[in-house]
Amino acid sequence: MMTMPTIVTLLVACERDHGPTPHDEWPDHGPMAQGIYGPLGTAAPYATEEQLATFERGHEVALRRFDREDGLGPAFNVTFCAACHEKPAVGGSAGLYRNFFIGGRLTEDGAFLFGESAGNGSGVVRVYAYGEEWPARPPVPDTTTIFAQRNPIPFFGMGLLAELTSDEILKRADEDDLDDDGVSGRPNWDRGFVGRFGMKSQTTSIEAFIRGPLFNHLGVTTDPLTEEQRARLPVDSSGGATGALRRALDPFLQAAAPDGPLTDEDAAPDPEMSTDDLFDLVSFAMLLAAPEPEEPTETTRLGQRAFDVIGCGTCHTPRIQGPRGPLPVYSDLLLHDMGPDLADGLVMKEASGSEFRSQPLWGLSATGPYLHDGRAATIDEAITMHGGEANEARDRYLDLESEAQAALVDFLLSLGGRSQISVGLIPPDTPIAPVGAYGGPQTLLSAEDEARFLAGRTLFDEEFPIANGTGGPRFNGDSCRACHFDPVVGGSGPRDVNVMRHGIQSPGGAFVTPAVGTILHKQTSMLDLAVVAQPEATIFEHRQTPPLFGLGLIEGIPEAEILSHADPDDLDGDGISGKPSWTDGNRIGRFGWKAQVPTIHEFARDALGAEIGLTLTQEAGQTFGLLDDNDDVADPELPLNEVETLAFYMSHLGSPPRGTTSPASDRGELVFEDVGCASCHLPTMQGADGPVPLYSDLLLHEILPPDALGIEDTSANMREFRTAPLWGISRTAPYLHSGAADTLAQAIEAHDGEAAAVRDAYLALPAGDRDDLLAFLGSL
Amino acid sequence: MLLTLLACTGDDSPSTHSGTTSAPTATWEAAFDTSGAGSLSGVWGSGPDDIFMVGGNDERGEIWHDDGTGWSMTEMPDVGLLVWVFGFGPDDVYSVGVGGGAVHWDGTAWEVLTTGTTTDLWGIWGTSPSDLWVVGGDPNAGEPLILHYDGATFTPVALPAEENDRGAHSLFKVFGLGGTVWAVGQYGLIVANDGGGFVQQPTGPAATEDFVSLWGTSTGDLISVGGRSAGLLSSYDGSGGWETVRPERVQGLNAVTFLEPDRAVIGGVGGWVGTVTPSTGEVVREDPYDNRDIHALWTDGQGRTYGVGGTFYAPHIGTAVVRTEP
Repeated sequence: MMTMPTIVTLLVACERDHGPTPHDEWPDHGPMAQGIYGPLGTAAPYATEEQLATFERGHEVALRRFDREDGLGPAFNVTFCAACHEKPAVGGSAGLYRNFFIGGRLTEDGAFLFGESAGNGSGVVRVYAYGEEWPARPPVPDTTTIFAQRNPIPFFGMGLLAELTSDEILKRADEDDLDDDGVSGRPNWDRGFVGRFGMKSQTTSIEAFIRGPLFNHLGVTTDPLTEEQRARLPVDSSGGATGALRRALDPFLQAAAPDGPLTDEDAAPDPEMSTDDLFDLVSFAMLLAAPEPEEPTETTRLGQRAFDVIGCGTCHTPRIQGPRGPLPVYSDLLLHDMGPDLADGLVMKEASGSEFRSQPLWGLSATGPYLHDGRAATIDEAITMHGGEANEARDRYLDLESEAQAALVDFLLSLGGRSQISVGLIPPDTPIAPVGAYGGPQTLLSAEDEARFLAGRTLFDEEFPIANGTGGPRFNGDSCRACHFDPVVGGSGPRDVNVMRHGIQSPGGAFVTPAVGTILHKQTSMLDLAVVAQPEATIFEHRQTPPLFGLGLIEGIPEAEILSHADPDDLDGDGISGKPSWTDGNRIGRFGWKAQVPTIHEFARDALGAEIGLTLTQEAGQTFGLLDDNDDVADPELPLNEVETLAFYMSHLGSPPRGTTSPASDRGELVFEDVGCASCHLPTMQGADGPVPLYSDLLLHEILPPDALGIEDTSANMREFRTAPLWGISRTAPYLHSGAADTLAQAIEAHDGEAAAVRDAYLALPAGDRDDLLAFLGSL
Repeated sequence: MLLTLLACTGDDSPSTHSGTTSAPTATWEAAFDTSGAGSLSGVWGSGPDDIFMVGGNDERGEIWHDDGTGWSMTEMPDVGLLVWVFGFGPDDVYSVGVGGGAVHWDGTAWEVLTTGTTTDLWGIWGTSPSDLWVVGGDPNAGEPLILHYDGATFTPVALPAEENDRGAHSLFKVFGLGGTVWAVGQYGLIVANDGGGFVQQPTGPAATEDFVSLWGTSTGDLISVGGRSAGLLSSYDGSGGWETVRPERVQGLNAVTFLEPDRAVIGGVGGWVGTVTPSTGEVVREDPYDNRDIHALWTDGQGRTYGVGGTFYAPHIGTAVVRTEP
């Protein structure tokens, strides 16, 4: 192992090789403002009691799931703010699975214009829609020819950046590189102020930075805050003062233009988020504490020295002066050309297609992946991917010995949030939930099995980077947890992680599988492309994430038990058939919306390949799983033992705990039987160790209207679905395979086909009986 | 005319953005008490003693009139929120607005005109009562709308797709000089019609956002303003093209009027107001009266420039201001 003096020698050699830089004079990075730091996701210590209350309310607003009834859509990418700002806490970043596309084009006279997508002209490509105006996956116009991806940006310390004066940022600008150091630094301008937020410093207003995405990504309309509200924000954003007073206050004002349409085309009344909620949300963002740097260690001091010597600090300015003191932002908030490899082609006000803001480095430890599109899984990768104005600093980094590189990375990790690093979203050292609780095992486990269960949970949560094979090149999630997290890891997912299936209807009406398969992925590891459907595709179908609780019990149900309830030709004449799904001729399917998968192990193999794009080893007798793909990563991308660990975890996840019953739910249970729901939603099936209360027969039934177009899959025709297990349904809204139903009542009313008679019987019930039935379902 | 743009430091090299200076000499104050008014978005007058301001709320349009004795709201027929106003004299004034609404003032009353459309109308201008142009559209969908009014009938005028390669859904304002009519709109689109139909004009790489308004005193002094969250200024080059710049420190611009051939007042988002000298590109910021968005400006030729604005969402708060120079 190299000793510390050797590292110092290497750094000194580096200085000699490349000549002194201005940073050689910095023995350290100077004093810092006090009283502004906290763990990532917490409120700044200076928040008043009233502001803390606002912070808590804003936190709740960030977690609020929007339904179709209260304004989601009609087109959208996510259903709540924290979907993209979750890592390692609300207000942070997110994994690759939350990347989104921005598109645009160049006009003949050289202007870059953002593309339109499903009623949105901001350039943000919307990937989900309900309603009739667009298909479930809205098309991308042919005119959009430039695509880039964005990985969500963390908000920590944002309020402190809002307080910075324009002059404080401008004083570091060197647009024409007059100091001839190869690094320029240009300001972006927005609303008359120097921009500071966004990957290209394209925005000055936190209100605008929130209102825009609310519309672009959720389809949620808002009215701008009132002047009175802006004046009460933690960073006064009002323009109420006039004349000389206003001019004096200008540095602290954040006038917010009415970004984002005030209305949209859905049925929810506008604004779909109240200005009170918006006020709380903006306040929450403004009050997020600054990431707290660690006390220096010998290693981090060496890393800091390396940071200075190789010139990182030229753009990643260690301190920037705010009204509360020097902020350890490690950014000049200016635009720098990052070279052709990182260029995204997006022009945002003054920022060209290859210019980006120096991203603040405080708190970066727990907010990977890195760079604007998350292409870098590690800090080391991020540094080596720097180009353009950063070429020289990058080359100096590459010239360092590995120990010095590690020290530099360690220094960067010390800039806040290191204790919150997780492989995914589960905080470090989180214990296994107890038996009987959501996320816990079905039964008490031995110490050995408990360790395996924990390892499986960690794997399930782990985000796999592109460099490890995520994407084939398309993918939906970068982890299992990316889709299965409601109400806890292992569960279902909201609409914004729906898998999109698609198909082609032949002139004769037959279902034709598209060349890429029926899955129309949401993401791609090809960072300058967007995933679009082939033009012939006319059938699109949302597929909600099914919860995995109790899968082991379902797997234990004997085949004969399932077949005993089958009546494919409706021989009993009750109008309900029930068809087993034969997956490959001799195995009965029991998992997935179309019962297309026979075992948990196969289910894991299927999802790892189809949803994440990870290739696996071929296993005898297993028919699911991706064996090779079109990325540059050597196959297999995940070893067999990890697949087995995942399958073990999934097999042992406990069934959903039953909710509280009541007289109403007891009455409702009888109604459930009487009205005919139990014809398909069998309350129990006999499992390996006794009755399994899953409320399903695991058979296929036609439940869509006779003229509906859907996706054929294995044994299931376009309108057939497996009877969805109802256990745990109270915690898995929205409902139906598509998630089109906000409520259980809507879900029942949407049943058709074989279920039409039962649906009609439900509708004919007295209101009280219907309420009892819903109470019963709510208790499951 | 070219916007030869100056950076703050005095750098006179061509640039895609201009600097601003801040040496205000003008005063902005309230034109009248707008507490009883809705949003205001258009202003025009035939002279200092005959000025109209139009606006309204979600329920109805309203027009305020100063006939030299003070401001009052005129009695209105059933029409939606009004956006723009233009006229030829005290007895011949036109206003258009949302939902295809249009009214005409004959000196005593407003009469509803049948436009034949329910599309929102954002601008009106003409050379005579029998030669009026109206533009509009739904900014979220569809094609821009151009209407010509001959004094009796509004007739749609097609804008060929090849003259709208920016894919604009709406045009926002229309104005003419010397036999040419220009219309400006979404996504940096400017089209001109010198009698042979509307033709798209190049507006340059900086024209990445909407142009909202335009005005001029000659083809050498004709500018368009726009931008949404950051201002855009575009100057007609006299020969079918426009040079667009993005001034620093300027909010999105909505309004322009000329004080004199080479000096215009501009206004926009957040109450931003100032002047621009097109020949030098110098922008001078002024102290606003308040921070409500300015939507329109009009100069009376006697040293007073009127501005209107407000919020286009409930509760529709309007502002009416007047600028004077010492």
